[in-house]
Amino acid sequence: MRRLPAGLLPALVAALVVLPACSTVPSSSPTVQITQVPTRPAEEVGIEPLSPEPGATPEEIVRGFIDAAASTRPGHPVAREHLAPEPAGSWSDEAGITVISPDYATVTTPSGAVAVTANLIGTVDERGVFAVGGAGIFTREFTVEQVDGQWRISDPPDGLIILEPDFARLYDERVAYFLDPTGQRVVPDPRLLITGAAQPTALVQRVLDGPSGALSAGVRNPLTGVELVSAVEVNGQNAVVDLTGLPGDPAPVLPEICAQLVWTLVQPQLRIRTLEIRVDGEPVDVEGVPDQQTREDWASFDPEAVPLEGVGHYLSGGALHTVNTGAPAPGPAGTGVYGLSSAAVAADPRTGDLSFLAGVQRNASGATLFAGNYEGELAAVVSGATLSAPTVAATRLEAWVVRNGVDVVRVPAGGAPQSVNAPTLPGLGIAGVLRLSPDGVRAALVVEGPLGRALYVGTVVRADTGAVELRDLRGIAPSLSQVVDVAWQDSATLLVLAGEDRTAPYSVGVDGWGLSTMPSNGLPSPPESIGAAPTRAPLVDAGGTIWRLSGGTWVTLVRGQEPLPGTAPFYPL
Amino acid sequence: MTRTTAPDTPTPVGPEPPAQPRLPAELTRVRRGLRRRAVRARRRARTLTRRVVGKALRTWRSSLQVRIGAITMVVAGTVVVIVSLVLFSQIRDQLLRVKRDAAIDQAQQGVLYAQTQVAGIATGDAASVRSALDRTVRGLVNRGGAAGDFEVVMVYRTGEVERTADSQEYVFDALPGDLRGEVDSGGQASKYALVPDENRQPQPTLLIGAPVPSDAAGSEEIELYYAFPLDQEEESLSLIRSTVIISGVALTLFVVGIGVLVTRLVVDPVRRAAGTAQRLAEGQLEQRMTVRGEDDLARLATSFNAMADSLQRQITQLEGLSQLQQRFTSDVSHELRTPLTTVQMAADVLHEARGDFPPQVARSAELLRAELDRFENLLTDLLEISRYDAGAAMLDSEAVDLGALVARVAAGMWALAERHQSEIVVIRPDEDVIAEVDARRVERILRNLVGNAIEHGAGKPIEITLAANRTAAAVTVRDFGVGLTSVDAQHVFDRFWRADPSRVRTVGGSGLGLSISLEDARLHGGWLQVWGHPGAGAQFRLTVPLTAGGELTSSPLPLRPATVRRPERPGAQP
Repeated sequence: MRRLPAGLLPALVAALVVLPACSTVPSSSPTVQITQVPTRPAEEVGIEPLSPEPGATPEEIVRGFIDAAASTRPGHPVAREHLAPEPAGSWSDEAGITVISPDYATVTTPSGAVAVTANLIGTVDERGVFAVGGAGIFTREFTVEQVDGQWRISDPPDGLIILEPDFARLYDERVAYFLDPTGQRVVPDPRLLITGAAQPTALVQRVLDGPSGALSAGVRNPLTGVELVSAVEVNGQNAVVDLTGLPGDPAPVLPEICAQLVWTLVQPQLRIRTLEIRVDGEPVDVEGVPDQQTREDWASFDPEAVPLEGVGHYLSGGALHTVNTGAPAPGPAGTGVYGLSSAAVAADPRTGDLSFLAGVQRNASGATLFAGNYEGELAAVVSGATLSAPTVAATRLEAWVVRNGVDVVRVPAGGAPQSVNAPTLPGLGIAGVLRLSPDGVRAALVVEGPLGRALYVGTVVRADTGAVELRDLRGIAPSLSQVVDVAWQDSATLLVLAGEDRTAPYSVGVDGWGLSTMPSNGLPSPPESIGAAPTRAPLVDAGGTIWRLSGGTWVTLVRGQEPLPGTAPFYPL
Repeated sequence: MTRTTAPDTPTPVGPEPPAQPRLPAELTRVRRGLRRRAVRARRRARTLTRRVVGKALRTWRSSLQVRIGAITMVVAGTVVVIVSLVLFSQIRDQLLRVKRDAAIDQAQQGVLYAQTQVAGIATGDAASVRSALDRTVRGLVNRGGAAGDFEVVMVYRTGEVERTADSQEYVFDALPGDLRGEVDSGGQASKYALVPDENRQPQPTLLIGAPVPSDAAGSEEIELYYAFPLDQEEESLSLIRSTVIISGVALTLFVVGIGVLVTRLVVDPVRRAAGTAQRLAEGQLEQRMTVRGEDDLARLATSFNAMADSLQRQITQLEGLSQLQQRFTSDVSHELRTPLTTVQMAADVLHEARGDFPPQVARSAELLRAELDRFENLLTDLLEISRYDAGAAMLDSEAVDLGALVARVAAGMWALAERHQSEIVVIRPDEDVIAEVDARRVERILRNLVGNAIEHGAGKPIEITLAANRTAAAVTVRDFGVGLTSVDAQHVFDRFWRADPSRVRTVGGSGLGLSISLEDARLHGGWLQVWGHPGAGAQFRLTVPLTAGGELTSSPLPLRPATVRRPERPGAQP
């Protein structure tokens, strides 16, 4: 028995050696294929650019590369085919877009490179924000090299260079909405997005990422820090947005968030009618709002809301008139006692009644701004050598005016005038016209600079201390010279009167995209000033009479009658 | 007892470099010392191993129980190991297959989900790529599944630019190239690999890779990788493994225990019987087995006891008979001695007076006396050998110079050699060979051997060689006569044996001389051996220990002559 352990040992050793040797879980193995059902999505159909032809010249390759940027294919494979192998791998098509005019020139330089010269329409940054190109000329030299006997581009710039017609064909302007500081309205921030099924998701992503740089100081974004759980799901005309990362108690911001998303996504262009918003998979619970929300549910945030009684006004002989019949406005102003040359009327945001009137009276010493109740007495509040026409926004009872072409002054209803800090304005020139956007976040200015009168748009920034600043002034229509007047058709569109020798009306996006001429037939002479409001027909005065745009033609205020005399038409906001 | 001899340490030869006169010498010394020590340690270890192995082998050979226990253990252990291996691998494979199936299922679900999500990537829109990757990965991580914890890596690639969602860089970096290649070529694949976990410790991980189908014509590639760490499987498998090992060892021990217990029931009586038989064989004839019960073992004991009874009876009888015979021989010798002395005295008288007798009678008187001398010698030898048989021979050891003894014997036999025209050559070492022996007996042995050699030497020289080592001394007596066959060599020490019965004995020749010599040698604890070859002569070798009671392990002289040759050397020593 004493020897038993000696016999035990080998068996124990064997068991202890063999069993642990077969390790519990494998730490390496060959790659094993998994049989699967191939699920290839159907190829999208569309007009695709052509691959480079064999034997193409360097110039044709460069032109082909620019043409190939007009593609919705991910990664722009055809554009890559125009590149040498090494840059084809490293070239990025995501670094923004340069839009050039289609009539560009390609020249082979003595060094063998191909120089492209074009009119720069503008650039679109990675967030889809369009910036007009100014008066700039786009030039770019492409070095080419021989790859297997074919010319290929060896130093492509990151990002796309695309011709304007292609860009307009492939990219849509979609509006992302943010909130104005008072929380009453959504503020449009137009973005250019490539067409395709990904547009709703990309648009929501833009909203989550925040407003564009120029606008960011002037608006609020309650969706900051919020993320999408999944891509926006579009079923028929209903879309589902699933959010996560909301604050612990989202109830206070939920209405704003919903309004923002509904206004952003429920657009006829996106073919979305209703929107379902979920937070971490659960439908949001906002009182009085159904699960499938429409713009009507958030009509109070309508950026195009105007007072119901907001009929157009104009001045005739120093008196305030309304356009419907040409009757004078109620109150002393309608009688012409103040001798107003321009005016603005604001409605109370709470009641919608017209309540605040501001008007400029020109006199021998210069100009004086009178302000007061719409139907009441007016009081002089500001005076200066020159005063621009007053302007109001729908969100505050407050009139703005430019004094002496450089000082921006705001006059709150029943308050003392306050100066608005506009640090960059004096550097640009003399401001002749100032128009606040209906939401009060932007201001359009006509500034007379060294190159004539140009159109600028600035952002109104209101600090917590009450100080107000007008900044980020940017030219949005450099091609328009000698701008006479400007008005807000809505919060994202401007109507401009401009022209070298004959002033004509133009329409342009607030970012400078979409500049187009408006009809001018019916007008007896070039228009001198313009008044507009959302959902309302624009008004101009031409040759001392007021005209209204109706069905593509300027017509008289009272159909079938003589034009009514008047100047400085405007709509109350 | 085994002995190993150390290999001679080679002494470095050659002149040492003169530039370093002392250091190398010291170094050499140290090195030699180290080597010696190493050699010693190795020798010790080898000895120990051999001892242990020898002990184990002896135990294996001698104990039936150990053998049965060990065999049972090996067989049961093998079976248990095989069964455990099969069982364990089955469990392991099943566990891993379930995991893999669930993982693949989850990955494919994930691919479908990712497919809906990557639809939200707008062309040329870095922000939507980033956010789509992030939210897809987040969505996939939140979805979970049946396959346990996992990490998701999503790779978006256009050209050579790769992007992944945040936070799984370490998993992405650890993705093996062949898996990526497989996925790149459009197939789903799985692979086990070591992938770091959140603590950056490599973990065995199941990787599933799948491409996310997107627009076929685009140059973008979206790949989805799932990493399922196998730590839970590893944990449960380790538990199962230790359970299997413990139960396997326990089962083996249990089986062995049963085997040993059963064997013990059988082996113990057998062992007792073996002990009894052993004691019986040692001469304790009264030993008997106890008979218990009526089983096979009881029958064995009964038979054994019967056998022992019969053996004891016969041995006692034989012993009695043998004693009787010895007594008879001794008595006869004694009884014959007295009349022989008288007859011898009468024969001597006749011999003295033979000159007065006629020649035939004188010749008869001479013959009578010679034969009586032989008769007396025979009687003496008979008495001597009967003393050995009776166990009455005593050794009277003292330190003797064997060289002198050999010389004395050679001198004593000189006359006889002369008569046979033989020469006696003595070869002995220069120094004295002192051994504790009974000089009278050794002299008798040598005289006997030399006499024999002269008798069968056919007139050729006789060589007597003496040599000694540390423990033993040896004397060989070599003749070059007719020699011996191997059959003769077996019988040369038998009593009254003759190589050629027809041959006439002229010298000594009682027929008991070599028997007595053998007994004398044995009494010393020595050896007496013979070598012979027909025509080449014979050689006898006597080996005795140098100290009385010493044990012999080897002889200083070879039994078989190195070269069978005729010595030419005339320089004989008396």
